Amino acid sequence: MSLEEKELVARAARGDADAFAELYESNFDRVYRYLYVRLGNEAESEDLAQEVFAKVLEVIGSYQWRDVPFASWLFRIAHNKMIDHIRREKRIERVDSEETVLSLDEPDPADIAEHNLQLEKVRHNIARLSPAQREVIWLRFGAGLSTTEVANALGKSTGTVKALQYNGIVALRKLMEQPA
Amino acid sequence: MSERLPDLFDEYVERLLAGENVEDCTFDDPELAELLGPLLSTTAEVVDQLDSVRPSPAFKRTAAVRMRNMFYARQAKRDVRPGVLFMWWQRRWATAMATALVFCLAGIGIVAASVNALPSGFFYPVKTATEQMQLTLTTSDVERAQLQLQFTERRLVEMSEMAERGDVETAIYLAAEVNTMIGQMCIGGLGVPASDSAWTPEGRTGPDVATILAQDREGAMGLLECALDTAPLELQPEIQHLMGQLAREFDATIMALEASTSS
Repeated sequence: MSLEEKELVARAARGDADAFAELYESNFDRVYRYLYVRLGNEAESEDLAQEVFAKVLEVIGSYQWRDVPFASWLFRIAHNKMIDHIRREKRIERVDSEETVLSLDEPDPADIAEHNLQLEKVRHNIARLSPAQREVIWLRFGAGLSTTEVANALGKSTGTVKALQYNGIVALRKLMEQPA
Repeated sequence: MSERLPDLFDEYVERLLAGENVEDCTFDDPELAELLGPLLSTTAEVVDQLDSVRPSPAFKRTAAVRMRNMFYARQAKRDVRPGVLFMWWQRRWATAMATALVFCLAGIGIVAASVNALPSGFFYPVKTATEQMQLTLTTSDVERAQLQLQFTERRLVEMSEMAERGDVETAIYLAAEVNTMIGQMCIGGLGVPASDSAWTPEGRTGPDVATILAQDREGAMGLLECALDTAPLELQPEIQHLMGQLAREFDATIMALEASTSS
């Protein structure tokens, strides 16, 4: 975590609205993405992303940067919220999806449909990895965390995370080469 | 070399995540290129696909306003846990509430009785679910706008009533709801171009809750003024009525909150 981010988190914890707004702005998209990649549902992901930040607001005063980077702490909250949600809904992991908003420059319906298919293929195949591998892939590429941040979020060593990342991508490549 | 593969691969992944293309990631060792090159292509595809997932800008803007108001509500009243009212608005709740409650309770008069319910009241969820249902079932744009104007007025009255009762958190939450409803109504339904709007809640800050609410009032008022130029003629008297109500209820709320937080 950079010194700037440490200062930002400390200011937010002390009740600085600008600092909290900046943390929200710089992290909301990746929290949403992490949740969406797992849940595949736009409305649920948006609601849960907001619940994550409501929780952050509630407990940020207890955050200690010495123990764990902020991003790792944030995604532990996101992960726990998601698990609670899945348990609450008594659902099995979904591989289907509702329509999502995609940042395409030219929203041609055919392009969007093709893009959605590709995205769903990636989501579907990630869901077929081992639990440890897919959690690393979600955090690394869905949430954009560094290897160290992923290690801290999952309570694993960086060496283990790198191995899970490597093996996960090897497995994913094989899965993506298979015909649909 | 196999023991180092995950470390080497991670170095190349870092370069990809930093914005380099797969083609830029050259390998000195042909064997390594054969091994890691295809994996980097797969990684690039995964990153590219996942990076396209974004929350809708409208939701993000609305959520930012709610979060900011929750923040100030906590500042104003630290001994109240946030998140109780926060749950009511969620769409999955609203949908479930609308379908279950409205149909079940309409026949026994609870829906009618809930019209005057306040957020602290037992029937308040019935009230908001009924509103959601009415909006969902309305097909005419003009009628929908009339309903939105009517529901916004209800939130305004509730806001000042809760402030009067000393419930700072709920009053500030309702102020955010009012702002959100007016923003959605004006930009979404009444034809106000988003670029012409003075309603820019992101980044609004101030030394205290009263200043923030005053800014919210001005922003909402600016949007309604724009809507007077773009809305159908039959809606203009109702918009003007809401503008008067908005000024009165916000003033009353600010006064009540100032009295509450200074005592």
